[in-house]
Formats: sequence, C-alpha cells, structure tokens
Amino acid sequence: MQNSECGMQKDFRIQNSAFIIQHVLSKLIYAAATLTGVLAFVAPFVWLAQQQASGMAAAGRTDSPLILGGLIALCLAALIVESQRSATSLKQLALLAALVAINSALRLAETILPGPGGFTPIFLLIILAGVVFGGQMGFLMGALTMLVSAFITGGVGPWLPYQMLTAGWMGMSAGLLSSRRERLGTGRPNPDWEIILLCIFAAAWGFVYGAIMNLWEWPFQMGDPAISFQAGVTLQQAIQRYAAYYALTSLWWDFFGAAGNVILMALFGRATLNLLRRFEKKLVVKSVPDARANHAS
Amino acid sequence: MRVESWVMWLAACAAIALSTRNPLYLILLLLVVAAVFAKEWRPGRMLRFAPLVAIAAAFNAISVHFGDTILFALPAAWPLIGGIVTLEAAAYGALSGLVLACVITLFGAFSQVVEAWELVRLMPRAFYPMGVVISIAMNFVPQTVKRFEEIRESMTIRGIPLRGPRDWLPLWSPLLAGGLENASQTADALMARGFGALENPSSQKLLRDRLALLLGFGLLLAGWMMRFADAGAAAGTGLMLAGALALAFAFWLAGRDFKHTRMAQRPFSWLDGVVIFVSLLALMALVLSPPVAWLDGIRASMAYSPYPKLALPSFDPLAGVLLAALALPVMRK
Repeated sequence: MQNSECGMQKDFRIQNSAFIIQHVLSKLIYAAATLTGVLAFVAPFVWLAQQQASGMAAAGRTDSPLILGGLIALCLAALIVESQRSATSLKQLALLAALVAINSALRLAETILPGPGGFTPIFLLIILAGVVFGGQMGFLMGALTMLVSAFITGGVGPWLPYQMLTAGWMGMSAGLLSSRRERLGTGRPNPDWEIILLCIFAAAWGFVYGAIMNLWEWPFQMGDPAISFQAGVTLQQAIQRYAAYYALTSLWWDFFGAAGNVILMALFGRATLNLLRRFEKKLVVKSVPDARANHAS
Repeated sequence: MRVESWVMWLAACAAIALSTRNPLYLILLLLVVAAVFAKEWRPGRMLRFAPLVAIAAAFNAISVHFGDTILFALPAAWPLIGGIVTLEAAAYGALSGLVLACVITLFGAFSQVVEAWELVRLMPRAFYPMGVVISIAMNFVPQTVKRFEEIRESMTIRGIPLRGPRDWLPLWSPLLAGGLENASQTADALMARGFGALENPSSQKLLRDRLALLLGFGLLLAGWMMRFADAGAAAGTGLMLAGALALAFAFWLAGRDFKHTRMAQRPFSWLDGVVIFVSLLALMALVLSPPVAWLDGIRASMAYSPYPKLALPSFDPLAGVLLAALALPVMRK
C-alpha cells in the first residue's frame, strides 16, 4: 500500500515537473517571439542612427523593411503555433471562429459606415476575449479578426502582419488582467471596478495601437527634422521626434478610437463579459495535467 | 493560374513598389497591374487614388522644409508647418502617395481574382487549427449579418427602434449569444461527422517542437544583435538565416501532427512556371540587387530621390523589361 502511494507520488512529481517545464518553455517562446516582434518595430530607431552615421542610409532604406517584415511574419507564425495549442477541442475553435466572425462583421459595418476618426468597434471583443479566455485565445482573437476581416473587406496588404501582431498583443495583454484576478484568488471581482479597469485598459490600447502601427513606417518617411528621423540623433531625440510626429498626424485620430473603446466598454462590457463567461463554462475545457487531476480527486 | 503563382507575383510586385520612389518604375508597375486585371478590375478605378497622391504631396510639402526649389513660405511662427514650401518636398510626397496607390491597387485587384478559401488552403499544416477557425469564421460572417437583420426587424416590430448607443445593447446580446450557440452546434455537427478531431501531441513531441522554436528565436536574436552591434554583419546575417530555417523546421515539425488532404487542385501550367520564374527574377534583380556590376544601373535608378534638387529619374532598360514581363498573367484564360 505504501509502495503504491510512493509510486503515485513519484508519478505525480514527474508529471508535475514535466508540466512545469512545458509551461516555462511556452512562456519563453511567448517572451522570445514578443521580444523579436518589439525589436522589429523599434529596430529602425537604432539601426537608422548607425547606418546614417556611417553614411549607408540609402542602401539600408531598400532592404530593411523587407527584413523587418519577414521577422514580424516569423514572430506572428510562432505565436499562432504556440497559442493554438490552448485550443484543445473543436468547440473552442468554433467558439473562436464565432467571435472572429462577429468582429469581422463589425469591421465590415465600420467599412461601410465609418465612425469618427479612428473609432472601431472591434477592440471590445478582442479585449474581452483575452480577459475571459486567457491571453493565448486573446492573441488568436486579435490576429484572426484582422486576417478574416481583411479578407472580407479587401484590406489585405503589407500592413496586415503588423495589424495582426499588434491586435494579437492587445488580446494577449488583456489576458494578464484575468490572470491577475486569478492570482488574487478573488474569482469574482467588484463588477464596477472591473469595468472601470477595462475602460482604462481599452482607452490606453486605443492610443497604443495607433502608436505601434505608425512605428513600422515612420523611420522610412522623410519629413521635417522636428518630426522625422535624422542622421546621428540619439534614442531620446528619436523618441521625442516620433512623439511630435504622432501628436501631429495621429493623436486626434486615435483619440476617437480610445474614446470609442471606453464608451463601448462602459455600455456593453458587463453584458458581454457575463455572456462570454457563461459560454466559457459551457464550451471551454481547461486542461490540467493528469496527475494533478488524480491528486485532486 | 494557380494561387501559388499569384502569391509569388503579388510578392514581387509589392516588394518592388515598396522599394523604390522612381516614378517611371511606379507608373510602369501601375500600367502592368491595370493590364493584368483589366477584365476583373476596371483600370478607371485607379483614378480614385488621384486625391490620395495630391493629399500626400500637400502634407509633405507643408511639413518638410527641405529642397532647393522654393515655391513659397509659410510664417515661421506656425508650429511644424511654418517654413519654406519646396517643389522637392511636394514631389516626394506625391511619390509616397503613388507608392501607396500602387500597393492598394495591387492588393485590391489581387483579392478580386483569388478567393479567400484558396489562400486558406495555402496555409501550412502547422496552422491547421487556425485554418479550421478561418474557414468556419468566413462561413459565419454572412450568417452573423443575417442574424443582425433578423434581430433588428424583430426589435422594430416590438417598437424598439435603434436610436442612441444604449438601444444597441438589446441587439448586441442576442447577436453574440446566437453566434456562440451557433458555434456550439457547428462544433457538435462537425464532431458527429468525425471531422477535425484534435489530437493532443505527446509531451515529448511538445518538448521537441518548443525547443526547436526556441532554438530558432535564439539564433535569430543572436544574429540580429550581431548586426546591431556591428560585430560581423555577414556572420549575423548567417545566424539570422539559420534561425529562420530553424523556425521553418519547427513549423514543419508542428505540422506533422495534422493530416492534410488536397482535392480539386488546378493543374500546374507552363504559365505558372514562367510567372513564378519571372517574379523571382524581378525580385532578385530589382529588390535584393546583389552587388554585381551589371545590376549597378538598376540599383542607381531604384534609389531615386527628388532631394535636394528635383531631377529627372534615370531608367534602366533591363529593369523596364523585367517590370514589363510581370504583365505575363494577362495570358491566362
């Protein structure tokens, strides 16, 4: 009897450590892919300064967008491959497909009847899917919304991988809000505070999304020295110039996006969260290692 | 023509458009696109982009105060836009607008000849679950639009018109709930037909796949850092290539978990082969431009800039021939 218990405990320890290793590796992949993606977005800040300082600016301008585009595509592919492991059943895939379809229909409606400035209704579901189903599903929700809606609205272009990655990051970061809640062990947060927190998060992403999307093209545009990249500038100066460029060209546009996110979150956030949580219980099977399940039983 | 040939052709054209500011090449590329998609996409639609070019020219002209040919000056006290307005800045803005028009035209016309499902079918096996999601989502979109109409009509019948944003909540909740119920039923129906059973890969397989991904990113980042730090550009590029190959290998490994069948494919014709060959050739010569002497003319003409004084762009005949050859898809049936 004691031997069998020892064996079970040993099995549990082995399976538990294997689970922890897989978990750590998964997190490392997310970190590496995200780091590569972030570097691909901010790389021009660094290499333009170096190339321009050494007089190679003209050569760099032709091949670097392609290299950066390739890196973004690789990051996106790796994050999708890793994230899709979280969808362990066809029901989860169908759930994701339904949410993507609803969001794509919203983007189609937005294309036909555009809102003011950068207002778009699609960020609401991306954020809430990340909060309810976790960062991995949130990433897939963001990336696939951009892909499917681009197919439908004819918005396929070289900007698409950047949009997919940035929207994916939005959903992935929303997952941090849910994991924070789980870590606190409350499970049921104060509904009002939760919506207020989500409103702040959605407003921030309204600006962050625009700022990130501008980054990939900004270093390759020539403009006034006050708003464009110049030879020999320091990182701090580059950031200041980018901030001026963003303020001049995109701030008012993204303001409508951020304000729209807040309004939608305040009006529809609670009802949507309740619905998604109801369907989470119905459709999503949470995977736990066998040994843990045995131990619990 | 097969979708693979179209994708290769599109990649070559888009890369060329994004790599040059030479107006002669850009206009030639626009003419090629107009000729290729003359049946599906009225070339007259390209005129819609004229305002885009004009706006880009005006924006650059007032925000960039650089160039030798001064047109007029705005008061220097005006923040950011104050200063001289030059012909060169306007020309550069117009060229940027032309690049954007070229890219939008390319992708807009491309989406007319290639169906979304054909692109989904091109997805590598590693992305099989996402292929399933995209296929289901593409079918759900029209259903979602239809359900929206039905709910709106029933609300109108009950005397609940859609006025302010608050009126949208009674529409949004059933739309979302209906979509999720539909998803549940679709998944049940698919499972009942034995479709799309997802097997959980073993721990060893997962470990192998994840280590391959991490190795790829490790090599990629190491190579990139070497390029950044200027510590051997060739070695850095080599490491980055090795990292990209390791990632491709990791995707291939991950794809082995999914069985894949291909049905009713278009046959590979001679035109497919020629289009792929010409696209690769154009991509190599015009965009990648390896440092060989006979490509010097192309490199010089591709790197055209209107600054500091506007001059006529140069035109390399070989580049012209390669660009014209990209019109080969006009020969498709």
